Amino acid sequence: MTVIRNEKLRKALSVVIPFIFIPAVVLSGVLVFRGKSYSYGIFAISVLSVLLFICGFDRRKTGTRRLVLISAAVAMACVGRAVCSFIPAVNPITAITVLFAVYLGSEAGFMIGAFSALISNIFAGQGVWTPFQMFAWGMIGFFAGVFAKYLENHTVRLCVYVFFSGAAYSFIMDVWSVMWAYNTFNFKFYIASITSAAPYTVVYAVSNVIFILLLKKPFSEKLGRIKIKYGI
Amino acid sequence: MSSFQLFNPAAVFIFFACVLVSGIFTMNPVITVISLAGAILFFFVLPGQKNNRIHICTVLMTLACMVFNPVFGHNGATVIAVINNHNVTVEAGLYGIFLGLMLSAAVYWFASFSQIMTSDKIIYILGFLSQKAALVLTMALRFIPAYIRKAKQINDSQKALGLYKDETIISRLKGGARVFSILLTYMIEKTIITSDSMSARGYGGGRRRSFSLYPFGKRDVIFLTVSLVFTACTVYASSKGALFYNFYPFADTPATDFTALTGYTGYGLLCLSPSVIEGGNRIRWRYLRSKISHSDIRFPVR
Repeated sequence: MTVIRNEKLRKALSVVIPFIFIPAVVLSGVLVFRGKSYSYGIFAISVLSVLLFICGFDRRKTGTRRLVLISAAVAMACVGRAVCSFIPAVNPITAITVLFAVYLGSEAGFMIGAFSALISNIFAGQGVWTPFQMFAWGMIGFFAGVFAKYLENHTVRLCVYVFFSGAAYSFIMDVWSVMWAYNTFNFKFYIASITSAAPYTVVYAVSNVIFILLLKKPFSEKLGRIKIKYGI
Repeated sequence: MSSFQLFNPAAVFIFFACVLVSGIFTMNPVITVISLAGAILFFFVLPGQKNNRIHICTVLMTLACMVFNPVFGHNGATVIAVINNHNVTVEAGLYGIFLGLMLSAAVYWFASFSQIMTSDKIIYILGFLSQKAALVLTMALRFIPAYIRKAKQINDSQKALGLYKDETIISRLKGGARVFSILLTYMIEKTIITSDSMSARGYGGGRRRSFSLYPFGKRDVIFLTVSLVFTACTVYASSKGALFYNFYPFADTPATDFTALTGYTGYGLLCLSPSVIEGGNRIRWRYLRSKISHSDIRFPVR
């Protein structure tokens, strides 16, 4: 575990890694694995962007309270997934990530979404899909933080956001499974996988709305309160 | 205990990354079969609890791919049936089988991966990237059992107070939401206390150092070098285009020239190496134990 102490080197690395390293990895991989170039490309980009985000998280100054709150939120989402695991296609990770992201900001939202996917997969099953799940849930949290002004104290908008992000999550994962299996984006297969997953998608999107309706009130009361009381 | 518990997690992680990335993205049936064989062998060689549902899962997955791919995909030249103006081709079926085997191989590798890479090792790997992220992960893992315990207590006390009804689904949902709300309050207050006590003990006060129990020894260097060399053989063959394989319109016969053979051998040895390490260590242990004759064992005399 090394921490680079040289300020100039650290700055140079922060430029080199996103703008040179990632394209280099993707391009060289695409040249090596010709038969699967596209699926390799999206795989590498999603893995590396999650890693980049985590590295960026270390550089910025995050208060201790915020840090502990993020890990508590991750634990909460994982407990929620474990509790709901007996119902297929229902888990509160999206809802909890969005609610926390609205109050804690986009960066915290990304971390909560991505880490909830990583940890809950320890018992739900790790797989090739883990980086994509981390990326998808991380992005849902990130955009919830970006649109926090519009979503805060507005249950209807929050429900709409969660409904569409639940559907988008399924659609993104379907894009991935089609790309992964067939290397090109084949529209016929995409429609087939969407229709076969349609009941799950609907159940997932609706369950997200139910979670929001159940959890919105306690969240806004309590997180709003500690925001004022402790200034997080 | 697996002998992989003693390896440095970074070396094990890089090995698994090599196997999976070069196995999945080469798109070659020979490589896929090698990968599956190596994965199943390692799955059985690795000691520990075995989940036998995994076999049913992979067989079903392969069958599903074999059936669904010809139904939805109509590429390929050898038509065996025409259903609703759609050609059902042999090549699409072959591609389906190939896909299923590839998925099964990934499932078996990941089963072994999650058995070796316990959460402490994942945290160690993440610590290379960001120590803050590793801290978040550690604390989240510690909070999960604590919250489950607390949720149970809250649930019991609500029941004892007569507030928690579980007659209809709606009342159960409402009860669940109330337990959640109480848990949230507890969690937030606890978070503030935890973070304040962390700051009081000097967290974030200076340059952070960390401690881990995983040295990077000779054995890790050898394991890492060997697996990187084998991966390099596969990547070399793949970048030369020797492992390129076409399913459509006609399924090729796999290439057998020298470059392709280098790739197959490299990947085969890569997939075999964990089983060899694990099995070899176990045989060595048996051999050493067999050399201990009974007269050598002195029981403590009381």
